[in-house]
Amino acid sequence: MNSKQLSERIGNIDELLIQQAESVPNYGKARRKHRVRRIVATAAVLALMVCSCAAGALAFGQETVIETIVEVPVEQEMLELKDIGITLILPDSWKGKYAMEANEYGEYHVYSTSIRDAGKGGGILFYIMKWGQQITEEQWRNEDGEWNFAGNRYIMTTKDGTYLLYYASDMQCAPDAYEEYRQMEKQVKDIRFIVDAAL
Amino acid sequence: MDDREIIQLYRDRNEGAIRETSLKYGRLCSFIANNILKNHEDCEEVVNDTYLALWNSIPPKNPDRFSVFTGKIARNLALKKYEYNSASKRNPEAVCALEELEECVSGKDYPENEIENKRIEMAISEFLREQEEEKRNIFVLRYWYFESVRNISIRTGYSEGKIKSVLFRLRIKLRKYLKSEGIEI
Repeated sequence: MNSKQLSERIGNIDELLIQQAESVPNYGKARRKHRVRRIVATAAVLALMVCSCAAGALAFGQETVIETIVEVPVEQEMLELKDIGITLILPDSWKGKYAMEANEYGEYHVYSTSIRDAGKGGGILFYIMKWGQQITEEQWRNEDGEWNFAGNRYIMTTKDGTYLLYYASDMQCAPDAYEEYRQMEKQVKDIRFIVDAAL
Repeated sequence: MDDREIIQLYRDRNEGAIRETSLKYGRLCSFIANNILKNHEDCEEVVNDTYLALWNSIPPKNPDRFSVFTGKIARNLALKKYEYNSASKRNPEAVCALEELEECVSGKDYPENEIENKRIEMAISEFLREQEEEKRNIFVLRYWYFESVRNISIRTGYSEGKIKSVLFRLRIKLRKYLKSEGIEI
């Protein structure tokens, strides 16, 4: 089949689908409204938690004990994505707390196992994608290409393509797991990379 | 005027049918034709030919959704004109949309067969019904209405990058879906 023939077939799809698309709403606006409400709700939950902790501390008047933690260097926590030729050096504290899954779109999702296994949400911390074309950092910064479907960070371009790290969109955890999720999520910026086919 | 009443005018061979169609759906026809052709004269010609085609097809046809029926005729006529136009005269946006669809197919000429065409159309409809509403609408806006990515972005409130990405993923999925349905692409 050629594209013209496919276009003709598309021309004769269910009329209801065609009619629905005629009056498409502004989804982006609706989502932003919903996101703001969710952020406000989460902030309210956090504020309550902070207040209750402070109230508890005052009520019991316990001495504050300062613990000195001596960190013993351990082997670096590494995650190799062989299919796309990149290795991630993750925070050591993530050992045993994450897993990786790939989907049909070539996305490699890294998620928190404790959040997902407890049924408290998807727990996705970030995902890696390798784009087939070479995208310079300047293009990434200035152009609104296909790769910009979600917030992302430029990793590197090699002779085989470009690696981007995508931040999870949507809430990935229930409100009561937010602190736990946030602990890992804020360390995503510290992840480093080793790429096989650097230019 | 209600669509049922307009259709009745056609059935009564009342020339007011054309006037009423023009008032209610003239803009829609121009919009679709313009998305494909981007040439004022060609668009006007297509819109006029659409009215003629409606006059000649109703009766015996009795469309359930008159707006879509009218739009389909305009679309088909515009695509025919698009092919007829020389490469330099073709609308780059329509060229782009068709090039995007090339990713879903082998590119070989497919022997036309009415039964097989119907099967493919039903499969594409089913595929679209299985998608989320937003993605489905973006696909239809792009490949049925030939809307530009920029306009779809404005209408849906999503960035152009997101629109391109949604379309890219849907094309991959559509290709896989058609293959899984045993449709030779």
